[in-house]
Amino acid sequence: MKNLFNFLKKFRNFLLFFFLQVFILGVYFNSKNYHKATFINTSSAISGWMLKNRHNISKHFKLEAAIDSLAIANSELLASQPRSYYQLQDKLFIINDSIYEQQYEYTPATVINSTTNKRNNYITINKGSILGVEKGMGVISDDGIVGFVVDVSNHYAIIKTILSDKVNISAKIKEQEEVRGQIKWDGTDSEVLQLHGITSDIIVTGGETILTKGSNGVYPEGIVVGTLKNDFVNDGSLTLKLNVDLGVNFSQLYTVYLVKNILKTEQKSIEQNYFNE
Amino acid sequence: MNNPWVKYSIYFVFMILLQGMVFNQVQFSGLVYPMVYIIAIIMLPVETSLVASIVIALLLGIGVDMFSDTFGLHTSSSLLIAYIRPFILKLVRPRDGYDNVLLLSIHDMGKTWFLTFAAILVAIHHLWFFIFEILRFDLIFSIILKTVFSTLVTLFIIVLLQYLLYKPTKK
Repeated sequence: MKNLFNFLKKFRNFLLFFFLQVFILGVYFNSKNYHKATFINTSSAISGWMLKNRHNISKHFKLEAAIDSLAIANSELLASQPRSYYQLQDKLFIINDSIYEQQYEYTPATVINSTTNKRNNYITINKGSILGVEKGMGVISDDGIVGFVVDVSNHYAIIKTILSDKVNISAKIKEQEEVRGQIKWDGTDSEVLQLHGITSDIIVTGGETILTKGSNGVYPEGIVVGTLKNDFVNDGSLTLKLNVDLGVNFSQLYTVYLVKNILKTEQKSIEQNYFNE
Repeated sequence: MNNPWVKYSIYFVFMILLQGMVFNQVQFSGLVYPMVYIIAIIMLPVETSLVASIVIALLLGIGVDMFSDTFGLHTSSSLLIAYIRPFILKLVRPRDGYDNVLLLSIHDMGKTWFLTFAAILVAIHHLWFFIFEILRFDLIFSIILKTVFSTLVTLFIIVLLQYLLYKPTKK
């Protein structure tokens, strides 16, 4: 017993350091997992409040780009409205629509903190659980897909962006609807993503638009991911290594939209008996 | 106000805010990420006990982690340099020891000593940080590049802060 106490006394500092280090690294590796975040993050009350105040000052430097992208999105929306079309026949447009039912709702939010230079990149936004933000909601912007919500506090939420390890998003090529693949990020260039799973018999030329497939109900179908680059080589292997130019400029991101899938619980409840066996 | 620990606490909070609000936003070329807050560990008085500096590193790291979504990575790296600091102090010991030293600043200790001491600790801290952040063997070249460039920028800012915040102490 005396030896034990002597040992503890001698190595007290090392043991303290060792246990703290193991604990902290445990917290860190735990939070690297998909859909998990810990208590030490920017959605906590103090740092969230401070980052919001910093954003209130620095937002003015980004406003011009933000206004431009909003104006473009607005003009696209205006163009798609019924009143923008010349009516060729009377009563062609049906107002009470029984064919379509709304599946997705969008909530705008402002980015108050973001990173682009890490292996896992996160964004803090100024909407939280009070305004209906939930874990697992998809996040998009005017230019394309952004990420999904991993942690929510009362007034803030943290979004894991697609510029992260272990994030897979099913995607398709706009020009060839039946071609499906997986979008991942290899961690080297924050403007280039990788499209996996395209077999080499498929003819691509570069310049094709990559869209989300929307199969798991987090994102709607047809959200832009980016444009295919033409720097790939068909070296005879089974699948092609394709690079995708990212549509979203993460360092200039200002307004994002939270996607709420109204039918998600329905989809999950019918799927769970068969997919999770 | 003359109590050195009151002064240090203000300095401590100032460093967390400086890192969280200013230096976390430096993101050019993806290679440079200055982590200037560790100066609050590097410049702790020589006679600080190891337990005290580990506790300070823990609080400092958690403070910075709260601003940067790194989930404990800053805490881990800070703990490491707080633990090995006494060994490095022994390693770069000046000829007449640390008996007359009041403050480990660039004015009191000389440019060569301060730069060597800070460079060793900053490099170890950054290397540990980027290894655990990236954690992939095939990206080892990227880890080394990030460590080298970030260390250089961090050291430059640390030296700049030395001239901005400190005067030579009177003996």
